[in-house]
Amino acid sequence: MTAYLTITDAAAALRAGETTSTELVRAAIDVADRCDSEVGSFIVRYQESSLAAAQAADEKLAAGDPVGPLHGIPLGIKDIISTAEGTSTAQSLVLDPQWGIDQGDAVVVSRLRAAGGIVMGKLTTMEFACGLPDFERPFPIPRNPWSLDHWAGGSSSGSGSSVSTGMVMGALGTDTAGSIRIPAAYCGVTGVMPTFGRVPKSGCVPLGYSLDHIGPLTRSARDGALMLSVLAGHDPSDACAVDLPVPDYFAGLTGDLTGLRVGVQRLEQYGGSTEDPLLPAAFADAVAALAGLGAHVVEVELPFYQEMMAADMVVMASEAAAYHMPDLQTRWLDYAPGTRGLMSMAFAISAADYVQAQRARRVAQKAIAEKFADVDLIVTPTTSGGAIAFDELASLLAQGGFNSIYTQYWDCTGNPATSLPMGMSSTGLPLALQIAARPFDEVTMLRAADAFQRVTDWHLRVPAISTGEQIGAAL
Amino acid sequence: MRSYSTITEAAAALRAGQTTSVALAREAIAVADAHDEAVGTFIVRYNQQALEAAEAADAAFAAGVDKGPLQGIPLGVKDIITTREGPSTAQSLVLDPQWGLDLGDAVVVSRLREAGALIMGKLTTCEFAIGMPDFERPFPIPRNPWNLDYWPGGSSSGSGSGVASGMVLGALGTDTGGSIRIPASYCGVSGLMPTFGRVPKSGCAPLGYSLDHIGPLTRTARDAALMLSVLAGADSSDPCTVEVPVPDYLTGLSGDLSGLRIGVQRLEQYAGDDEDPALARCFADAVGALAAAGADVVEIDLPFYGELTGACFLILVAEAVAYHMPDLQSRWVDYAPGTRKMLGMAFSLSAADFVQAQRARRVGQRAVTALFNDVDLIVTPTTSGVATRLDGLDRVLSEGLRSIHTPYWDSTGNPVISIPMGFGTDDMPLGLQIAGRAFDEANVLRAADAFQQRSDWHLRKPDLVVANTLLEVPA
Repeated sequence: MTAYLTITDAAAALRAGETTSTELVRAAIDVADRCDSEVGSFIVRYQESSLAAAQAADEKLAAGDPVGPLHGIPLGIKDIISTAEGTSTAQSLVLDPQWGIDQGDAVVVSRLRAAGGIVMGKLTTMEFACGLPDFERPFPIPRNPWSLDHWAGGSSSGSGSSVSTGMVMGALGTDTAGSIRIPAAYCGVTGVMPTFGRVPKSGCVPLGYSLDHIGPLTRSARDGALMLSVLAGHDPSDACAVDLPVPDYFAGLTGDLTGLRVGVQRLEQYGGSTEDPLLPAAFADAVAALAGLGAHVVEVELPFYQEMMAADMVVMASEAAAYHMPDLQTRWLDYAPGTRGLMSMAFAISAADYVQAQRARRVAQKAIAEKFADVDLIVTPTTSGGAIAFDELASLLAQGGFNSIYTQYWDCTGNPATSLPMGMSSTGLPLALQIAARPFDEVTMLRAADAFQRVTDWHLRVPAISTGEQIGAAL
Repeated sequence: MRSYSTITEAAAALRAGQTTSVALAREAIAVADAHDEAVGTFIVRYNQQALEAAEAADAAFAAGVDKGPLQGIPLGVKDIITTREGPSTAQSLVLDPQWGLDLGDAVVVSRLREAGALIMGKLTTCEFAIGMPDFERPFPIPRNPWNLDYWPGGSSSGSGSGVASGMVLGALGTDTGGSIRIPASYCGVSGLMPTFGRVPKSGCAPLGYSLDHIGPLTRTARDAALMLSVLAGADSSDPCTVEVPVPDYLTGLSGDLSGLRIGVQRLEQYAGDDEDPALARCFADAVGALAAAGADVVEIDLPFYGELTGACFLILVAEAVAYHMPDLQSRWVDYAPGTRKMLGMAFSLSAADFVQAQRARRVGQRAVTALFNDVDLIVTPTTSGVATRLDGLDRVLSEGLRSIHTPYWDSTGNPVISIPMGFGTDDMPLGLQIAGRAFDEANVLRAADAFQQRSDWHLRKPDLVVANTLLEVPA
């Protein structure tokens, strides 16, 4: 564990000469050496190249050369995004290894690298970001660092668990139905899904191309702002990327929410019996903290909530099946059973169903835009409880049990949404708050998340497994 | 009686005091009185309102108010686009009459009206712009003014026949698979499909919303430029419209094509033996005329021709069925058999098929954009054959589509015009198709106008129109 929990602190210490990039990278490697085999964060680690990059970073600092905002910082990349170090697997036997080799650095990875970030390795996911943890396949099982019997969440599983434990200080994830925010919530870290089109996604294996977002997982919202300022901006290689100026994401991090109108909804009518007994109080406390910071809080109701939950599944499964069809037809058994289950859904969906789902999204986008005429932000829980136990996962999904997850809505509308820790569940697992904003208004969203983290310390709590001390105590 | 064939001539005569808007409207009414029953151009005529609008236009001229070249000009509107005079039928028993009444003027109609144009009535189509002429339904049978045994083409049937026969000087049509250009080609008039997103389509019953275009049918390319100048420009009511400045479409109409590179392809390999015996010569002559106007002509090969043609039909029927599903389930027999057959195709399409078709479109769009790096315009026949006989329409749906070269450009969204280029079997018109880069209608119109400065095919009139000069027009 490094002495620095956040990128912000480490970056300041680097510039003050209080640490070196090599120290930061070695500390991250130590954590991974200690707990990656149990937590299952990495598919592959790039120790040699990361240490070489750290040494180069330190030399640059020593020489007084200008450096980028992520200079010397150890980062991790979800293994559906390509990097120059080696192939990408998408945690699947199906993906052609040559694909990632040919791609080299994805646009987002080359932006991180240009800003000085160091790629520590590739992080676990579910197969093609849509399968389930599979104990029969030759890939690590992504476990929750707060409780190894529990899932880290997905599909950016390793991105959540590696930031939580300190194996990296920040990570790239992707979000099509909640895959950044669910692991952020379950692992007790901060995850930012930017507006659809804000961050280019070329070099990332598509899941549902009209829903896919790339974004950062970090310890704090300020770190999220730091990474987003590097990641954001148009690139012609992604037809979905929007050519809008990138604002200063730090200017708004004042800690003051005076004048902001925040709509809140606990969504308990959808979570039902999955809601953790401690969630109502944790959510009420979080909302009170926002009010205490100056926000004006009003109750809202998310329009077309259930329609968007369904639309997300219909659109994602259909787009995924279109992409995978040739391989599904020839290599069915190479796909893991969980992936086959999801793809199979698509075979029952007609072309007209798909069109209708996209039309429903348009209707809901209009309706939520009207809500945002009255409020600046909308706050809900990210999930109704803590991480799901592995032995409950299959049965929950068999029952269609996504009731506990409140993330899909924002993938469908394309608004930016962040998840940040807001407490602990009745079983000692992190609970999380979700804050959504108008399209391309990540500034206000990050302002609220940062302000909340200035008056709370949930985001600074670290699971016992990542500190040598507690490992020693356990021994 | 002096009759005016084009908007351009009539507009000049109005300003020279040689005619009045009331005289133009009365003549249009007299032509319709004489021929509409046989030709089947109008679903409803608004004589009274048109004459009132004509009086207002004349009063405006007298008062020195000139809103531009459409002031006082008699136009028609395809009956899937709403106007405030009354309900729209979409030539169907299914469409709720209240829909059109509630909408009032569509954006395009209010733009024409604000420019001073007269709305003479609503024009025939195919049911919901997709069915086939149906002799059992209580709607007019659209016939071709060149020979009443022939179909005028569809789905903007009345728009083509209305302009060809002089019942209107210009008309609005819509194009999803060729519905502006096919009737333009078959009726011997000019029909312009603007770039997707150039003209707002709110207030138009959708067929395939990612393919639908509204555009003008007129006698000449210059008249189309006049109408497009009024129709073009984004509107917030249509999320598909694009905020691109509207250029001056008239300044480029110089008759000179020096410096333009034109790619040509006759597409005979797709039409096979459906190619009209006169087509090859007409097309060669037309290409020769473009070269004589200064263009540099090169042979090209349209990339993904079969794929983009197939994608257009697949997407069109899938999007149409999503829109019609509730009515298809409850009012199946109220749809005409031809419509049921077309829409029924969608029931065998999966969501993944649809997504794949949209992905193919993207690939095709990129390929055609690359082709437009080498050429400024692409010229093909609009159709390889002349209009179909009304008693031979069954064949159109089975194999006759191979002679129709229009769907390609709906799939890519590029602007494209059809203009008359000669006559084929039974002295029926043949059309030349000129496509340009996205939002480069200016060069499409420039080439079409230059061709029309060197040919008179667009000024030829069917016998029944020649007889119009003998009509009694009340003073």
